[in-house]
Order: sequence, then C-alpha cells, then structure tokens
Amino acid sequence: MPGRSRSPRRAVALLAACGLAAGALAACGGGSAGGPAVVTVLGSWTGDEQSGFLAMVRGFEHATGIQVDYTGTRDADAVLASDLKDGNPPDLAVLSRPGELRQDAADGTLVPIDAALDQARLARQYTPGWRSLMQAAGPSGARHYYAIIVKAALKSVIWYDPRQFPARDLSRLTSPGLTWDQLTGVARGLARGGVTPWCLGLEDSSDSGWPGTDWIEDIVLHRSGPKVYDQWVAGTLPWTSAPIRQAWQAFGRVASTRGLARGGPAAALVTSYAQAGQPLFTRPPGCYLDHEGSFITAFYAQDRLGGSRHAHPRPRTDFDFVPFPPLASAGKGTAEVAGDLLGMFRGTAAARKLISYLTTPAAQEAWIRRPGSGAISVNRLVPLADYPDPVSRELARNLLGAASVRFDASDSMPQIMENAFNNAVLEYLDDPGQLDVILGGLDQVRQAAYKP
Amino acid sequence: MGQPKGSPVPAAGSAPPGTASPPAAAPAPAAPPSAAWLRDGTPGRLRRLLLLILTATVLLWLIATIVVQGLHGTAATVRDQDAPAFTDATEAHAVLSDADRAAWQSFRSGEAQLTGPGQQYQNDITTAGQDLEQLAALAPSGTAGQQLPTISGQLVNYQGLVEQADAANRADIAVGNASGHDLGYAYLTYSSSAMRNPQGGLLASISGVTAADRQALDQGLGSWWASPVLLVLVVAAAGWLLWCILRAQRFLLRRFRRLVSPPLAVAGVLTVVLLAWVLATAVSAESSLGAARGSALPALTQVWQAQSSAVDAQAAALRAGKTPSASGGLNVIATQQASSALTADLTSAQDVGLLPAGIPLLAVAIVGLTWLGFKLRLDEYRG
Repeated sequence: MPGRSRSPRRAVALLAACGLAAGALAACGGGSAGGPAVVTVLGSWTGDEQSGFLAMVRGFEHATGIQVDYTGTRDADAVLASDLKDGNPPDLAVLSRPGELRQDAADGTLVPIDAALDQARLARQYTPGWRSLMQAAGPSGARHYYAIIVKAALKSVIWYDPRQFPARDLSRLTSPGLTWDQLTGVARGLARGGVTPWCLGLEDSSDSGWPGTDWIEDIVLHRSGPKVYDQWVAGTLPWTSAPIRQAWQAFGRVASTRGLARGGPAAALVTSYAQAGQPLFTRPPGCYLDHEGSFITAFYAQDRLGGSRHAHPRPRTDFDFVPFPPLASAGKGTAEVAGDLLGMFRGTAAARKLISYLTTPAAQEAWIRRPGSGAISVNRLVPLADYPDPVSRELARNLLGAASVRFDASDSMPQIMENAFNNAVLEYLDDPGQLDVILGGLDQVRQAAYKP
Repeated sequence: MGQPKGSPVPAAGSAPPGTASPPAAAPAPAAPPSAAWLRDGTPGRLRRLLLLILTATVLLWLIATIVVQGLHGTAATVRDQDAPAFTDATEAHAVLSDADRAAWQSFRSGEAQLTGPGQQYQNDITTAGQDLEQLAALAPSGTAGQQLPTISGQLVNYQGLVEQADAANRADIAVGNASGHDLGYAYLTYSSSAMRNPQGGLLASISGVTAADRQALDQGLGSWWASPVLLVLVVAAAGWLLWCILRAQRFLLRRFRRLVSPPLAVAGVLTVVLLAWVLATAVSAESSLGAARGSALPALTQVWQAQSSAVDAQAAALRAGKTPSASGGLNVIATQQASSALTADLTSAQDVGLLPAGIPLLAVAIVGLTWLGFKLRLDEYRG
C-alpha cells in the first residue's frame, strides 16, 4: 500500500515542521541587541519649551537616525549636580548660567566642543560677544568652546495688555522716551485708582527668587550703567555699596509697598513666575504690568483670555511690551539678556553631531518659528521675517540691536553667589527691614565665592 | 493460531515478510548498506516504526519542555522583577506624596517648631529611598534605569527645600516675625512645586517609571507563553505519538497476531499521563496569571490610586490652609493586603512542581518501553 509506505516520510516532514515551530518558540524569547545611537539631553525646558526643543531636533533625528532622548525638569541644575556626583551625567545638558559653564569647564567636567564646530561658519553667524559666551578656560587654562547658545531671551522687558491698559496712561507708557520715574508714576496712578499695577511671582521650584534678582539687575544696569554692573558681576563691587543697595530699595518699593504688587509680598513669594502674568488677561485685569523676560510669551500664549476656555492671548493684540526704562543717563541703551547654553558632558560622536546641527540656522528656525515660543535666535543668518509675529520680531530686533548688552548678572556669578542672591531676594520680601543684614551676608558669600 | 505466538504471519497476497529469502532469479538491486536495515522487509518496517515513535517522543519532550519552561520563566520574571518594580515605583510615588502631606501637616499644626517636617515625613522619605534602591537593583537598564538618576537628584533637591522651609520657619519664629512665617511656608510651597509640578516634577518623573513598569508587567502577564494556543502544540505532539504507538500496535497485530504489546501499551498510557500533567500544570499557571491580570493587579492599582488621591487631596487642603476632610495619610495594611494577593497569584503561576523533572523521566520511560516492545519482535528475526 503506497500510503502506508510513505507515512514515515510524512512523519519526518511533520517532525521537521514541528522542530521549526519549536525552534521558533525558543527563539522568540530573545531580543535584538544594539539599536540606533542615542544622545541623552537634560534641560530645564518643560511644556511648550520642551516641545520647541523637540521640534528643533526632529530634523536631526530624521537626517541622521540618531535618537535624542530629552529629560526636562525645572530642577535640571540639581539633577545635573546629582548625576555628576554619581558619575552618570547625560551626554548634553542645558546650562542657564555662564557661571556654571566656566566652573564645569575649569573642573574638566565639560568636554570641549571645538572639534564639533565649523569655526569659520560660527564666526559668520554669531557676534564675538555671543561666541565669547560659548567659550571658557579649561583645566589647563586654555580657552575652548564648551557650549553653544540654543536660544536667547531679552530680559529688560515690561509687558502689558494694550486692550485693557487705561487709555490715559497708555500713551505715557509707550512713549519712546519712557523713564523710570514716568513708569513708577503710571504705576502709582493706577494704585491710586484702586487697581494693582504690578504682577509679581517669585516661585520657581528650587530656583525660586530669580524673578526678583532680574528686577534688581535691571535696576542696577539701567541706573548705574554697564561699568558698575560689570564690577558687581565680577565681585569687585560690594553688595553694601550705594548702587546695589539703592537698586534693592527701588525693587522693595515696588514689591513691598501696599497696593503696588498683586497680593503683596506674601503672595509674590508663593506665586509662580509662569502664572504671575495671568491676571493681565482677566476681566477686569488683576494687574497691569509684568516684568518678565521674552520667554514669558510662551506662557501668555497658553493663558485664558478673559476667562474663556478657548481664547488665548495673542501678541500685539492682547500683550505687548516696552523696554525697561533707564533710571539715569548711564543706563540708556542698555539691555539685559539671558541664554540657554548646551554643554557636552560625554563626548560621543552622536552628541558632537547634535551640537553641530543645533548651531545651524535651520535648527534655530525650527524653534523660533513656533507661534508663542518666545525663543530668540542669536544666529545672525536667521532673518527677522522668520519670527511668527510682530512682537517676537520686535524682541529679536531689540536684542540684536541693543547698544550695550549685558548677560543676566546672577547667571554670570559663581553658583553659590547666585543661590545666595536668589535666597536673599526671598528673605528681603519676607522682611524688608533686614536689608542691611541681607546685604552684609551677601558680601560674606562674595568673599568666599570669588576667592581665586 | 497454528503458528507459535508472535511468529511472523505473511500478509495475504504479499511476499513472505522479514528475512524470507527472495527468489534467487530476481535479486533486488543492492541498497546502500547504511540504509538497508531500515528497508528490508518486516524488520525494516519494525525499525522504521520504532524510529518514528522515538522521534515523536523526543518531539513531545522538546515541545513540552519549551512550553513549561517558557511559562515558568515568564511567571518567574513577572513575580520577581516586573511586579516588584511596578509596586516599588507605585509605592515610592504614594509615599513621596504622603511626605509632602506630612510636612505640611507638621507646619500647619505647629509641630514643625519642635520636630521640623515630622516623623511621618522622615518615614516616608526613608521608604521612598528604599523603593528607589530596589528599583535600581531590579531595572538597571530601560526607562526606569535611565530615569532613576534624575529621580534621585530631584529627591535630594526636594529634601533640601523642605530643610530650607524648616530653617526659615524656625528663624521666623525666633525673631517673632509678625508676617506669619511667610518664608518658611514659601519654601514649603517650593518643595511641593518641585514634587508636584506636572511638567518634570518629582512625582511626574516617577509616574513615567511607573507607566513603563506597568507596561512591562502587562506584557508579562499577557505573554503568549501564557496563551492556550501553545498547548495545542503539546496536544498535537502527544497525539502524534499516540497515533504512532497505535499504528505500531496495529502492525504487530497484523504481522504477529499480538492483540496488545504490553510495553507499547504502557508507553501509550505514560504519554497520556504526560499530556495530562502538562495540561493541568499549564492551565493552572495560566489561570493564576489570568487572576493576577484580571483581579489582583487591578485591585492593587485601585488601592494605590485611592490612597494617592486621598493623600493628594489632604496635601492640597493643607497647602490652602484648610483642614483636610480626612487625615492619616496612607493605609499601609490595605496596600500590603492587595500586594500580597498579587504575589500569591504570581507564586502560584510560577509553581510547576516536579513537571520539569517529570517530562524527561516520562519521555525516557516511553522511549525505553517502546524499544523493549520492538526488541522482542526484532529478536525473533535473529539467529
């Protein structure tokens, strides 16, 4: 019988099939090794800023196949310090302070990025001032590029809502020659009219206090000028000196005078800087003036307009700005800026490629084109026309065209000085009567922080 | 029954079986010596049947072993790695939320003047630290492993802010600040913000790890190793072996007039025993994994969520200066009970008893009995 005689062969075939199936079963337990190269990035950008950065690197990921693994937390500085202590830093990290850049470069913690950059291209695209900010002295004392500027912000800015600002004061506020006295006069007038002029919030997790330091820095710069400002940043001007003390007192008159700042000092201490400006857009407004950097537009764009669930403030229509006014002739034409630096802590090939990519106009444009991003590029090849609205174009024009630009003072100080400054602002608001004690304490920190 | 029992019987119309001499005038073509033992007449047929049964037995052995070991390995991974990682991350999330609540309660009640953020805060921080250590040991790579250094840094930062709140609070009390200890509460607010900020806060980071761990746990509990489809393969292999044994019995009946070959019959019974044992164990393990997936895990998740929500509400009330509707923080006993139920299901799923040893033993027994059954018949053709 043919069938009977073939059955063993069929059995062998079945065995082979089952063997394959069993092999497949066993094989399924394993996983594939390897995978695309990954660059880990740590930064303080969250929310819309995080989306902006991810949009910026999307083109890089598509072009190179390298994956960018970004972790965003407002406590990025503390997390980075912990990572460095554990010997497990990310490949790249955002440094908001040149002081931190200088310290990490001198320690040898940061890896030089000269090899990742086309320096001729860099010279064409960035001014010497910005290029200098990307450099620092390494452990040997030789200067190298240690970071790039991903985006910048103009800090000497006061925001208002043109539709709700009292008409009688609007022309004074927006007049080209606005002075500090005129500005404070407008604010006092609003207070006399029964409304609160200033929005104020100092809360930002472990970095709380910096919105107050921005106030004091702007007052020092616009009252005493860049020379005094530089001495102060360099640690050669005491905190108890007259220019600095008077700046604190001027800030105190805004923050602690009853009726001038929304909720008073107690509310300012616990109000987030990101939410402080929301009352600009309520009906009626809870406050009328907000001193914040240009990055705040990213938060404004998400606020509710007049309590509406769907309508959000729009640039120029619902929010606009005036430059921080000079308090004296020495402060005319000056502007305080800040920037987010990206440094390399692990020198991988993928990280170098990403560093190189992020300096290009194409990468920079990907972020600044996002409506409401508040990001400003310091790359000269990024045209003003690429900014999505007239307000951001105006901010970029002011930042790039200011006669005398100074980087955020606290960000430029040694880290312990900056931390002390932040905390001192909080203590000052808690008890303005302690100003002498606070400034004396800051001078003690200064002597330790600037020790060679 | 005129022939001796077990002697070969020529099939009707066929050539004499086995080693009967072929006609001298028509010799068969010479076969390769290596294959001749498989092809020559009844002994060749017997050997082919023997080889077939041995092959089917080995296949059953392999498939049963793979299925049982796969199921056991999956259950063990879920019990010893995936589930503890998820519960550690979930517990860390809950106790840190409770630490925030406890610190606020201590400040609001005035205890902070003497005890700082309080004993419950310290206990919660210690528990969270232990959970994170265990997580680091369980998942050195993957999402959790990547996030843990960040979480560790955020935890240190959070503790630093609470310490600053304590220091500022004591300083305000010492100088009799009439402003109402604003700075101490401000720092405590910053600590809460560092913990609860939905964008990159400490709890948000832990939630990322919890989500990744939950995904791994769901994948483990829903693994195709726990799928009944795999049992079909075992049934098919056992069925094929039984069919081969029955076919051999039928051949022996036709050729040798033996109604039943006792060794082959016992081999068949052992095959059924092996199949039943594998099925019973696998179904039990799958049932336990199903109970863990469908009942114990959702119950545990629900307990944690309810407790976390309650703690979050209490902390929010305390931050706002209100008296919370309930107090007391986490209910440790409830969470332990829910966690024990999950562990019990997973332990049961992992328990395959003596089956890993039983499969090879039974397979060897089947092989031995089959060989014995055929040897008795093949011996009749010798000498």
